Amino acid sequence: MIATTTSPLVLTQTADSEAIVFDAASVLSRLEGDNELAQIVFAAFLEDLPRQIQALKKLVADRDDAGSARQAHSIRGASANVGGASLRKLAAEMERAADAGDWRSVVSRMDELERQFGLLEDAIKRNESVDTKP
Amino acid sequence: MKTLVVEDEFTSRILLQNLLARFGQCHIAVDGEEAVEAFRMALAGAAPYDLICMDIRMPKMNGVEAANRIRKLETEDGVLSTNGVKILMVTTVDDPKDVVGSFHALCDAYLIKPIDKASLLDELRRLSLIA
Repeated sequence: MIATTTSPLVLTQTADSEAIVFDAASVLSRLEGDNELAQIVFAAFLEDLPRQIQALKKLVADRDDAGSARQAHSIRGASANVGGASLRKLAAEMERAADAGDWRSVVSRMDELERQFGLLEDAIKRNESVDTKP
Repeated sequence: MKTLVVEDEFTSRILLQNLLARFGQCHIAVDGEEAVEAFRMALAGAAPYDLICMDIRMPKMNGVEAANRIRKLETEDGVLSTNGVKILMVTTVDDPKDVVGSFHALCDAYLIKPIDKASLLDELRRLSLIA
């Protein structure tokens, strides 16, 4: 059964526009409906992303521009894989800012990155609970 | 099909590994340096990879540099370019154009993240790696 028919999109209000927190349907579409693989990918993401965010925080604190850009790039790629559009967008902005050495932009987005991950984590877990219903 | 997935990011690695292990042996490297070493060892052991699926932006050594070194190892080993490993570079839509342009001569195909199963399988068929 494809779980996402009951919760295809989760939206959040951001500073500039309403963005998609979690688009589970797009993930299943990219995986040709393979829900088992989607759940494996979601679990990997939820396990790994907190570590990636901590790593980014340390790189930002160390003012490591190349490292921060690379770490933000990883968060962007991971978020894209799980349909986390708003987190992906934010990580992309941080990657570009770090590449440009624009530390003010990088630092100002750090709290929002954690908040967006929290929203995405909740949305994925809600989706999982839908999926495990008999 | 023997594959080397080269990806520093955990979620993408899990996804690619799950998709590609269905077609044969699938090894993992987490950066360009590890990829070059894995490729060198496979070549020396006469069990080369058929496919390298590699991210472009990684720590220690990026995908373009790793692809350069892999092609150099093939040349030194006498591997004809037509018989070389197929390299599929994984990139993102907004990677800088100069970076994207630099790997065209080294690679056989590229995929844009997020990974799409149908696009991946289409490329593998186009490269005659799967039926």
